[in-house]
Amino acid sequence: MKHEYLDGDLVEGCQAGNAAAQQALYHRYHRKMYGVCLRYTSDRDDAQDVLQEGFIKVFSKIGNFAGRGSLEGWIRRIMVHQAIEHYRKRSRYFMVDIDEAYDVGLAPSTLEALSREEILALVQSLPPGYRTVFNLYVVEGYSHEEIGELLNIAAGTSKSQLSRAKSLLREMIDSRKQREAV
Amino acid sequence: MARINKWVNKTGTMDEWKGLLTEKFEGFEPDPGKDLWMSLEERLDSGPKKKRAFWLWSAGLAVAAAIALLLMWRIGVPASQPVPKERLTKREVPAVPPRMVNPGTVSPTLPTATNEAPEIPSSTPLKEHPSELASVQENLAAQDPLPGTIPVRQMEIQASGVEAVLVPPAPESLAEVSAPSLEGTVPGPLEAVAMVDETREPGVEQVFENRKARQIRLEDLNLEDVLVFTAKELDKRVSDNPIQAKKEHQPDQGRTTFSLRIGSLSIVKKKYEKPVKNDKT
Repeated sequence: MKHEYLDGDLVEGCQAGNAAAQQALYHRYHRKMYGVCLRYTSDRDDAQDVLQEGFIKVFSKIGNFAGRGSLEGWIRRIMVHQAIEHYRKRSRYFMVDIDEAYDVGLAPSTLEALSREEILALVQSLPPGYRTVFNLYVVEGYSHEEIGELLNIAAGTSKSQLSRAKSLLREMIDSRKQREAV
Repeated sequence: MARINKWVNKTGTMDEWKGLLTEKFEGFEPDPGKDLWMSLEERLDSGPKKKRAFWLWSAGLAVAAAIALLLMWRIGVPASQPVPKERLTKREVPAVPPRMVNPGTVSPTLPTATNEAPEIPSSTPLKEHPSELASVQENLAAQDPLPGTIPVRQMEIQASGVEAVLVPPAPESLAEVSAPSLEGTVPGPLEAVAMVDETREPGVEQVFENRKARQIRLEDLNLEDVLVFTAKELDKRVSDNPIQAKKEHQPDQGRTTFSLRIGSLSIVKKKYEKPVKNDKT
C-alpha cells in the first residue's frame, strides 16, 4: 500500500534536506504546476525550464514557508514569479507605452466553445507580455496595480496589454472561424 | 475604476472569465516527462558539492594571495633584518587616491599616492586643506555620469492627454543586440526603443535591417531626452527640424510612427489609432 505523506511532513522533510521528501513533494505537485507553467510560456520546452527552476527555488526557499496558507498556493506563486522572471530575462529591450486601452468586446462566451487545448494554444501564441498580464489578471485575479508592481510597469500599461491580449485572442478566434467556414 | 468597470461590463465580469478558465483548466495536469525529475535531482545533488568546491577554491585563493602579498611586502628588506618601525608608521598613513587628486594643485608638502610614504600625520583631515578638498570634490563631480539626471523610473510624463509610461529596463537590456533580433524577441508591439547607433553615418536615414544597435538604459538619459517621448514634443521637433525628426502616418498599420535622432541616440515611437468597430453585423 502506498503511504501518503501530509504536506506538513513533506515540508519538514524538505527543510531537513531529505531527498525522498523532495521527490515526494515534486511528484505531488509537478503536473499541476506544469499546467500553470504551460499557460505562462509559449511551448513545452520553456514550460519545463520554468518548472525546473521553480522547483529549485521551492526547495531552496522551503525554510521560508510558514504554513499560513496552503503549500500548493505557495508553490504556485513561486512558479508564477519564476515564469515572470523567465519572461523578464528574455525581454532585452524596454518599451514606452503611450497607447490607451481600447475595448475590443471579447466576451468569455467566445472562448466557451473551444476546448482546453485550443484555449491553451491561443494563450501560448500570445506575445509574452500580453500572455503574462492576461494570466495574472484573468486567471490569478491580480489587480492592474498589483501587476504593475510585479512586472515593474505602470497600471495603465497593464490595462493596455490586457486589452491588446484580448484583441489578439479575438483576431485569432475570428480567423480560425473563417478557416473553418471555408 | 470607472474605466475598469466599463470594460468589465462590456466584456464579461472578472468572475465569468475566471470561472470559465478555471472550469476549462480544472484537472489539467499534463506530464512534463520523467527526465525532468532526473535532471532536477542532479542539480539538487550538485548544489552542495559545487558550494563546497567554491569554498575550497576561495580558501586556496585567499591563502595564495596572502603569501604573495607577504612576499611582495618583504621585497627589499633583508630577511635577517627586522622591518624598520619608521617605515611601518609611514605605510599606515592613508594616501589620497590618485583619481581624486589634481596634480596641478598638489602642494609639495601634501601626500601623493606613490611608493614614497606621505609625510603628513594620518590624523590631518582633508577639510583643513581647502585646495585639496576642492580638487577632490571637483573630481568626484566629474565622475558622476550625468549630474542632475532625474531617474526615469520615478517619472510619469503626461502631455496632450497621452500618457507616456517609462518602464525601467531589465539589466540584460544593456547587452549588444541587433535590430532583427530585437524585433524577433519583442513581446508585443514595439512602441519605443532608444538605441545608440554604432554604424550609421550622420544624416543617413534610419534603417532597421542589418544594423547593430546597443540599447541603453532609459535612466541614463537626461530629462530633455526623455521629454521627447511625448507626442506633443515630437510633433514640435518634426516641424522644427524635419531632418532630425520624422513623422509617418501608416493607415494600413493603424498607427503613426515618430522617429527622432538626438546625437547618436535614435528613438522610434509608434502611436496606435483607435480601431474602427465595424462588427455590428
